[in-house]
Amino acid sequence: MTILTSSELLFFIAFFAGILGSLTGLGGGVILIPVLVLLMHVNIYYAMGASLLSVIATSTGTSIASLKTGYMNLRIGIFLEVAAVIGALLGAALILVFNSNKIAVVFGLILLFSIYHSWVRKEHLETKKPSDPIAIKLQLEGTYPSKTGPKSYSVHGVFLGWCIMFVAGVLSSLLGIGSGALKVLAMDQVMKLPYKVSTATSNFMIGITAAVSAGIYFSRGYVDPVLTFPVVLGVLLGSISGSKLLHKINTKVLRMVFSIVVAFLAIQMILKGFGGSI
Amino acid sequence: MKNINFWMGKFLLVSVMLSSVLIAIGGFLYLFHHHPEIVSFRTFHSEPKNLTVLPAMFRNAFLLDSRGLIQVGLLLLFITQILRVGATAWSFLAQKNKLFFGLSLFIFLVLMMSFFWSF
Repeated sequence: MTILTSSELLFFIAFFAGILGSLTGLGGGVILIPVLVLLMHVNIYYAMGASLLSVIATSTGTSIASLKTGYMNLRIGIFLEVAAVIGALLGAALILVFNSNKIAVVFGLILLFSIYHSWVRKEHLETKKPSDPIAIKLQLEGTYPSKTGPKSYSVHGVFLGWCIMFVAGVLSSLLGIGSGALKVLAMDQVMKLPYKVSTATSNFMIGITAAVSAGIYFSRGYVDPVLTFPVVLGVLLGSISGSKLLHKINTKVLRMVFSIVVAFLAIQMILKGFGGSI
Repeated sequence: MKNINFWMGKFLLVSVMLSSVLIAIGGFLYLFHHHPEIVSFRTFHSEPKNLTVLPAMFRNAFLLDSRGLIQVGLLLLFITQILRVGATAWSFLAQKNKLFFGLSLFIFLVLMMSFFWSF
């Protein structure tokens, strides 16, 4: 197809990925790459490059709002980000070790896991238990704004949280995604932070992790400007629109449909990866 | 702290907008010149050096080469994150918080390494 048609199509796909990503909390990258690879026949490395840059763009955009609300915990963010950054370096190295088919299979599995987890979140009431001693030593505890003034929260499972962040970093780099879902999982379920603190801090961290692999992606030629330009613009506009629609749409039905479609794409990625056709 | 957050927010907003504008201008310029060409992203052949090596990217952008402009716009997104972490490290240093200054400095150095990787 012509560049014009291709760019228009890519823009719309990216736009919807951006909207869905922000409405469902699953992020743009995880939907974008399978759609680009399976439906548009884009080479997976180029798709990863476009997705990674989109992730940086949306992370920067969404963290602007987080800065105003005061939920982000900068210290936890920086502390955990050290793990993610080291993981990202490993992930970038692994891209060269894995071939594109293996990457596709890993991608599909992570996708299935993300969907599963997005439905099975254990609500945890704010525990009265005291924080993990490491958290206290590192001054990781914080407060978040509420109607009754700043509420403090405790921080747990620091070591395990750190380890999960490392894995999130590896995946972010290896697959060209943000790993937001995994980061939020670590902070929410393992470290037992209030959910809004987890999401705000995750927004902050995602961009940094993605930036680590960005330089490496650029140098290896994964970032094709002609492909990336409609994709980044589409995802950026999509996620801005999505966040504005958040209050008006019944997300439950959307998430259901979305989960089914993404599960289907995930299985396709796994099958094609095993079949060697990625 | 409130003050820092306010300025950081402004900085991030300006940078995202600037990146988007550069990417959009480069993109539309490219479409203007190449729109009827047939394109395929199927096979991976690494990008030509002038789009992957930093100094060349900036030179191209300066010459108003459309793809160079897009790359620089994208690069700006990356650079923004580096600057953000740098500013965070600086603020910890100003608060005399050695531990977190050290941690954010580490992240900053890794980002710089990634930046120079593409030279």
